[in-house]
Amino acid sequence: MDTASFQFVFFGLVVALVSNLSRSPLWRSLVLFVATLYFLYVLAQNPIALLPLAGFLALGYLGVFLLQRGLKKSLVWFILAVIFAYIWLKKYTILPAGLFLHIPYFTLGMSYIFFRVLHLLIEVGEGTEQGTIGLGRYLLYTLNFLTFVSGPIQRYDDFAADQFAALPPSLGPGVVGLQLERIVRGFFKVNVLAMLFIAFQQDALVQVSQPLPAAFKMWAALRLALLYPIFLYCNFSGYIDVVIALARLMRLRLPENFDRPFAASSVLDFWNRWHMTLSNWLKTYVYNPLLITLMRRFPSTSVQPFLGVFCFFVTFFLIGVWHGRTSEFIVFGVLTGGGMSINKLWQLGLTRVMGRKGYRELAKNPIYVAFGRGLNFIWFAFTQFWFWGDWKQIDAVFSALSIAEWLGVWMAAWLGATGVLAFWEWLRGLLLSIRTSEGPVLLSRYARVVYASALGLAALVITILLNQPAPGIVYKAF
Amino acid sequence: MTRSNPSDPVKLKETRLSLRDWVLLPVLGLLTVCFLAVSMESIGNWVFPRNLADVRTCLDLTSPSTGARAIPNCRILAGLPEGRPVENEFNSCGHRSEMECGIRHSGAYRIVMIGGSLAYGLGVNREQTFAALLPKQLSLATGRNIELYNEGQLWGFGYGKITLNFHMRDVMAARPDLILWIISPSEIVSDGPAFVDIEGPKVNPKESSVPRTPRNLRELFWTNLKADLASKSASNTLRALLNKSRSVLLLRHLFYQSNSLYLKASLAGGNGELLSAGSSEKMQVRMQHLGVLAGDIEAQAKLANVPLVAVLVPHREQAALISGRGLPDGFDPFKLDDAIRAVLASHGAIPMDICRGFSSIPESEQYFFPVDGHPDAQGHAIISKLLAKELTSGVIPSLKAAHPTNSASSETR
Repeated sequence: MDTASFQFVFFGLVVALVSNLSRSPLWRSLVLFVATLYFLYVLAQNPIALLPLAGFLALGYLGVFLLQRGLKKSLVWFILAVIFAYIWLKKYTILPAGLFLHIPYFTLGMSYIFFRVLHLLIEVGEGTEQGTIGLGRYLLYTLNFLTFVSGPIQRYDDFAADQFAALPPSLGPGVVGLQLERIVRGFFKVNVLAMLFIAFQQDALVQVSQPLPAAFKMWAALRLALLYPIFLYCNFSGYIDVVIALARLMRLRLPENFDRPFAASSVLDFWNRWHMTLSNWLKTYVYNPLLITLMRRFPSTSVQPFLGVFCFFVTFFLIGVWHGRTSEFIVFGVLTGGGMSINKLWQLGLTRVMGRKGYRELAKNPIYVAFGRGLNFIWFAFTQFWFWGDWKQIDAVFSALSIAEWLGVWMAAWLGATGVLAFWEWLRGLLLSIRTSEGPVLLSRYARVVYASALGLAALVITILLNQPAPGIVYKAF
Repeated sequence: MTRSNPSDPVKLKETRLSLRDWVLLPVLGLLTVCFLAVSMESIGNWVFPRNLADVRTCLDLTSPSTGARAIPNCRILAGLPEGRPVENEFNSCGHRSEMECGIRHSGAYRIVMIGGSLAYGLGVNREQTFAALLPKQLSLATGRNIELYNEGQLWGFGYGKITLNFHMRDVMAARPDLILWIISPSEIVSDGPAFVDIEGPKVNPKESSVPRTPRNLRELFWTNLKADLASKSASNTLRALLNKSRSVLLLRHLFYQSNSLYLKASLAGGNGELLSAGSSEKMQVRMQHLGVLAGDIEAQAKLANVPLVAVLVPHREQAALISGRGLPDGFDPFKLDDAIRAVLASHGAIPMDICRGFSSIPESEQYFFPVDGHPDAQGHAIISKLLAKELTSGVIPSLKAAHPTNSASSETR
């Protein structure tokens, strides 16, 4: 149930069906609440294991409750308390091990609840959120089974606007058809594409350490580097496709989390397209306040561009660190933040050398864009070594080839990614240019029915053939 | 923070579906499914053509006078669905051996090999099987004239006590200096002919569980479908139905090029139990059956004063586990080999180990047919080398190597 399995999709469809028996907000909320409780029960099995999570939620609600009662000065303390409780319950190694609870308890979904709780505290504390948030609404928002496991991180006002509206978003046959097609697409991504890509990546991981000729090992290293980002995209975005579509069938619109991230031609652009709800959350609640504070502290106009560079580093370092509790994720954070900062510095440097107009011209150049896209992809692939591997694996992989061989691998990866992504963009543009008066043929309902049927059949056959449980969603672990 | 789906169709004009679309869209979906299924099956048939020749045509599994055996001098071009058709030629005694039965070269050291489809060399030309390669390597290593007479049975080994007795009569008639028993994991895990009715002559050949050779593909399809429906759950029946299609064979063949994908799928099935690090009651029963069989064979070999050497030759999943890195949790590729050797030793046979030899061969699973699991020609060459190395290591004094044999890994790549 914590992945895009047949069971989860079936459960979601049944809940959507029951939810649509009435448009009344009370009925829809009741159905969502019962479904969420059942979902939690299935995942946790033991209600006792949910107690720490319940305590965390209670702390957050106490903060919201008091802030709504006008205790605005307590905002900072509640934010700090929630952050500490999160670090403590997630057993981050920055705290002494003796502090942790030594009983088995349930932490799945806590990261996403953490973001929602902080969002509520800040919005209520700053007076942006005007409506009263009762316990029921608070629990529905923070625990919603559709966004529980891996997001997307939705704003409370957006959630409330759909969930508690007397006239919720309409649901005609066209919308239903689109959502069913999206569920099939998401299911296919998770259960077929992601499963194949991770299998091929695992094969490469084995091969790179084996006593094979250098050419074989370099080929294995190339696959090892390039396949993981594609796997991760299929795994995460496929699940998000399923939950967004299921939510829409329940007349709830969730925010998009991906916008063709590998079409990005720079690291800065990439993070506007990848896990968008997380990066936007951090931009809203970390980057912007930090930048404003620093600009007030250092008002010099010559320094201000570099303050942005610094704030990018801090924000995206935090994104990296958020992903895990071990030292590998600190490196991942440094690389992610470093990539953003270097990209920003590159932009500043080129603008200074070429002027704004010159840089804008360059940024539109198709060859520059294509190579930038390839470079962004391999940079992301490089950072992912600290995302999927532990130090032992990383050491084994990097020591399997000489420095010259690795340079060759990354050069080939860059050129390969540039070529493949450029071809993909060209093909996509070409296919979308075939239009009728109603829009691109590829996006018509007829085309959607054709490829949804094809993907559905392929997913069914391959799932049965491979005889394996649905692969877990990587992002549920964070 | 990100706003909820700005491109959501709620903001677009919700167009009503016309009556035409209510009919057209489902028909379009159905046509797509049919087109895909037919085209995939056509591609599957093109890549792996259905071979109308069935090697079972050469088998007589129901003869009460001789037991199950191949029809003498039968010859047929047939093979595995994944491989090319190979010549299956039987001598006048119904054995796949290049030597005629009853003829023994003077002064030669004769090994008679017994076992199932692995010893038979299923899917591989006779001259490429380890049955053909091994005597040459042994002769080279020992400096002696060594010949091997292959009595491997395509339909599995140890098919009831009656057949076993008939078979051992043939083995002894070949006047062996050594009996080499090739055991495959599929014979251990099989609930089929390999170890059934081991306790006594209960099999009525006319009511045998081995199906009559179907006359044509349609008959084969319906016979198997009826059997599946009668004995399996709905999901297993669906899986069994899919397994019969060429498109599924093609997909499996492609997917199983990936070691990790293959291992996950394979270990989730029946073979997972065989390679599991834990022990189960079922496996203990299987080992008891193997012990009974080993006792019967060893008793007859001992009467004739012929040493019996037995060896487990791994199938693809075991080879993949052995030569891969990072074993999946709960599996031990050597446990089965150790258990079999212990059983064989307790019944007086001489157990040999070639499984550990696979650990020096990177990606040894690529030398097996991906879906079927039997070794291909390169796999047979590796097995032959490993067998030669073990047989000449001194375990059989008369085969002790004058020159040590090369390691099998030198054959690869």
